[in-house]
Amino acid sequence: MFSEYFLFFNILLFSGFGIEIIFGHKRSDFKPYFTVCAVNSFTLIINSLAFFLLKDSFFVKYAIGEHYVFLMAAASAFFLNELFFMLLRHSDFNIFDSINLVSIVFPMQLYLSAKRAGDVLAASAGAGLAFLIFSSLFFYIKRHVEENSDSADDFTVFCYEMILFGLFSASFSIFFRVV
Amino acid sequence: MAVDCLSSAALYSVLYFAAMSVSSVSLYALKGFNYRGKYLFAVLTAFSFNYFIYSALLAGKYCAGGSPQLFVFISSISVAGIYFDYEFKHFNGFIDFLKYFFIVAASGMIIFFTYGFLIYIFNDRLGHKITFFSYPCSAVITSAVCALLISRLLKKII
Repeated sequence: MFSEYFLFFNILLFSGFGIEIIFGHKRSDFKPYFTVCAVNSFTLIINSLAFFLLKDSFFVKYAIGEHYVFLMAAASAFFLNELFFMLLRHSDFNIFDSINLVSIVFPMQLYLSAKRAGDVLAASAGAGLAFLIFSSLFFYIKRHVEENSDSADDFTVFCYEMILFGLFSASFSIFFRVV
Repeated sequence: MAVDCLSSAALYSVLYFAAMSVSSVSLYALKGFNYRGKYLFAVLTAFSFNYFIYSALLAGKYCAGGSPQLFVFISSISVAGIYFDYEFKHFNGFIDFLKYFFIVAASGMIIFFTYGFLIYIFNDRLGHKITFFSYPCSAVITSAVCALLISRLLKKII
């Protein structure tokens, strides 16, 4: 189950979902970038499990609609991320560090679609790890593009990075489907 | 579920544009604040607007992949709308802001309509399995190409 989510689904999915963290800010140092990705992956797992476990015992029992659950998931992800950043004494902040698609939308997807808590744990752990590895790999590609594109303007470089990112994602998904 | 992909594309464009507008206006109003909670406020406000549009237009009946409602959640976290908060200090006047706002909005809408049109053409051949979320990698490539072409076109016109 874990490998299925990790290989066939999450790399492809989170190449799109984590894009705001990866492109949001030009960080030259790897450590703060990795901290942000790791914290968001951890928040993704906690948020997914917490909201799924509360589904029957709280949300369904008190007839709380899915739109209210989303509002709570967004607030929960934001405050969990902020708490972890405070504990890790993270200082190099970007606008998408605390609020992004990775730690909010995927828990909602699992909340809407998963049947068992075991599936949620496997899916969220696979997704979190895939995002962490994929974003770390992309950091080096992005830095290489920036070093070799001094003559282009920022927006053009950004678009070329997007193309590169999409091609990278496509190659990953094709590779794992073929293998 | 309806399979009129161009109607779906129009609906997603409306949701995308609404979320981007609400997020950027919220953040513009709060640009004096340094607390990062303002991004959470922008997302929650955009979601409220999007959910209202979703309910008013009966969006659940449109073709949106696994779960039609999921698109409302995804679109309410408007990456473009929130990113404008970073760009506010870099814009050279309101016209400059409008220029970039419409470049981003037009790029997003072109993606939706391109995808809607492709799904409309190839729907039968691929067993009605294509959805907007089936191939995010190609969506990323399409968005980048669209943004690049539109920005160059606008730079020549303006």
